[in-house]
Amino acid sequence: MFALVFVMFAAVACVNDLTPEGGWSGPVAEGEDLYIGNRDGHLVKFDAASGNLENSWRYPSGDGLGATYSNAVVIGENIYSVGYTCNGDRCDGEIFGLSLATGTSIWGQGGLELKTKLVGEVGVSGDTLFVGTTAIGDEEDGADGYFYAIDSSPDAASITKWRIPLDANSFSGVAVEGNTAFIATMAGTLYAIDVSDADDVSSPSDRIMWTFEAEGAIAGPINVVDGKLYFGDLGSKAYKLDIASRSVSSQLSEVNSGSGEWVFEANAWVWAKPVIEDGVVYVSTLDGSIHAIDDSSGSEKWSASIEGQIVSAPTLFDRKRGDTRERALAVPSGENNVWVISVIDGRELGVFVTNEPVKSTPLIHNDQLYVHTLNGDLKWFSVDDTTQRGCVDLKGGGRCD
Amino acid sequence: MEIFGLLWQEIIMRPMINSLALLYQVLFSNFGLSIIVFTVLIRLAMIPLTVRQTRQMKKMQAIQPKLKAIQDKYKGKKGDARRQMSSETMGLYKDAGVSPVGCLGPMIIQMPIWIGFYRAILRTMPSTPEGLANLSDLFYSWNPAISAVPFNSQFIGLSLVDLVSAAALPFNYLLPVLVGASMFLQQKMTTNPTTDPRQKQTNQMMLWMMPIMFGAFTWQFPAGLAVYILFSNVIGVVIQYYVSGKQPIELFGRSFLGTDASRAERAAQVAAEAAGTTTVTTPDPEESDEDDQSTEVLRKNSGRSDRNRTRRTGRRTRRRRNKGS
Repeated sequence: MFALVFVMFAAVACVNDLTPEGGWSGPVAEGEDLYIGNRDGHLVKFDAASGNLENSWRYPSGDGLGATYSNAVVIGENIYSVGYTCNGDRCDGEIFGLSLATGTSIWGQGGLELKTKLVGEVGVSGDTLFVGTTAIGDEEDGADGYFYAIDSSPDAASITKWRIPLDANSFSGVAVEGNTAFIATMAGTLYAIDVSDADDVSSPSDRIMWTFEAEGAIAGPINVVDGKLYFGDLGSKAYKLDIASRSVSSQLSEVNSGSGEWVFEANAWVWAKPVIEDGVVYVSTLDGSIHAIDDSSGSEKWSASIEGQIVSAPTLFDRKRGDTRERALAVPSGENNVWVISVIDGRELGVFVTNEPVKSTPLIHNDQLYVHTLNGDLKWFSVDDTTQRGCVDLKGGGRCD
Repeated sequence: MEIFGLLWQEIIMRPMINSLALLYQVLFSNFGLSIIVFTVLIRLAMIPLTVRQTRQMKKMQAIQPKLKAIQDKYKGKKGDARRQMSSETMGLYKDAGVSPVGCLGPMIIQMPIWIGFYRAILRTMPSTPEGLANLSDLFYSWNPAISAVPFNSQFIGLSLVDLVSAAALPFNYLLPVLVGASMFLQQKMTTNPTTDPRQKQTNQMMLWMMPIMFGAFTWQFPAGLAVYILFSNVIGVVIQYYVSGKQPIELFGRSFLGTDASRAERAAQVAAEAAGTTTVTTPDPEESDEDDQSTEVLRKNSGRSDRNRTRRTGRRTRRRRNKGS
């Protein structure tokens, strides 16, 4: 019986599913520098020219925030991101803005701390940041999630401008086009929210312009391209919606093909952000499939599959073959490696061997492919011959070549 | 090692997770009901094992006096005598139809099922993005419940994903107490009487330690897991009632309130002490249900058992007399 108790509690220890495991933030480039949220929840700066981390540039300077799931966003001289951790079911999240030059908070003391999970990418419009949250832990009667508008100006008296309660947790992050922000929830609701500086708004909830009910939870990011929204859900579907033709709340059955909208059956959960180029939408799924979909009709052109989950969006890049270059997708695999897939027919063209799972989006910078692997390393490869050129441990800063 | 992981996932985890998800679909998108119904189904499916285990334990209990006699007979002897003792012991097991590992076998089979179920509950209600993404690997593609993820975790005002300690009053205190109490009762019903003082002591320790430990740990469990343990215990008590015929309420009452006879005895002792006199107590056949069950088994199975009982109760009487004087 003691053995049973022991095994039970060993099992509990193995399945501490309440604390995030480090996240899957990918690198973003600004000039010669890359910025990445590491697996401790620090935002770190990597000098691509020297191949070293800048140890003096790190936020927070002490313990990390826990986990960072989204890429940082660079606007002008500043960079914005989020991170969180949970101890049991008490979560501590932080939304922060830093000076690119110094790595210090633009709000003086630090970021905006909220007792919540902060997973998705921040959206930016002018001086306002937009963030989606889960329930706020110290608000017992609060909503299951919120859309926050945050004043990003350094001299802001109050950081939170306003917020709107959502119908569920939000992991999707915020996409912004013009004066409209888009955010989705785990209840499967996509919100279009007026984020203009209008003074005639009596209640923040009046800013909701319309909603759309998808079949399943929307966990992944939303892509906004030329007035169209592209996203997937855990109902195994990918969607294209036309922003201009929407004004009222609607649901799956009301997708209007006359406005170029469509729903694609992906047969597996879609978490990664759809990628669009030259009239083709690339939808990736958690069962390792990539579907190339005709943007105008929503019909499938080809599909391919790799080993492992595709959690983050693939990256489009030019692959050199002799004297010619061909367009390809660098697809991160949650099992191992980054796979090179032809955009023409989905053929496997090669592989960037990471020997580690990859759940973040790879970055192409100066003819190199940079990958944040799930063990916390940043590895970079030649785009032309796919050989590894370097590796640095994003926690300690040491080389791991 | 990888093959064990694969087998564990394919034989235990995936069927359980998919069953839980299907039940969620059928039971009005209520994960609490899904946990309860699945617990009932698993418990029912394991009744043959439970019955077998109980019978084996009863048989083992019945031959304890004979076993003790064999051990006493060869006490301190070595060499051939030890071999002879083993041979006699095995013969005794064979005659009684007892397998020495027969009690453990069903338990060993049940353990992975319980652990798997427990882990399935946790994995079906992930609270991290990683957990949610990994859940997609565990669903069968044909399972219609896959599009209902994440499941609604609210159940009678309780969030099944959150820790019990974070639940609102009265759940945060009620659940650990109920888990501890139900486990105590189940332990009480499954613990078989023994004449071995060391075993008796161990049983007593387990009887109290396990419920207290589990009750305390429940505080830090997700509420869904606490619901599962609670209902598993309750169903276990019901099954034990039908298998062994032991009355749970009576057992529970005896554990804390004592029997009528023991209460009367204590009252008499208090009265005697107050009067400055010494009383000679009569043996209480119901002093503890464990002794009670023990004597019942002994009475049924061995002519010696009456003598043993007389000796044991006699000793008890002498002890009390000494204590009382």
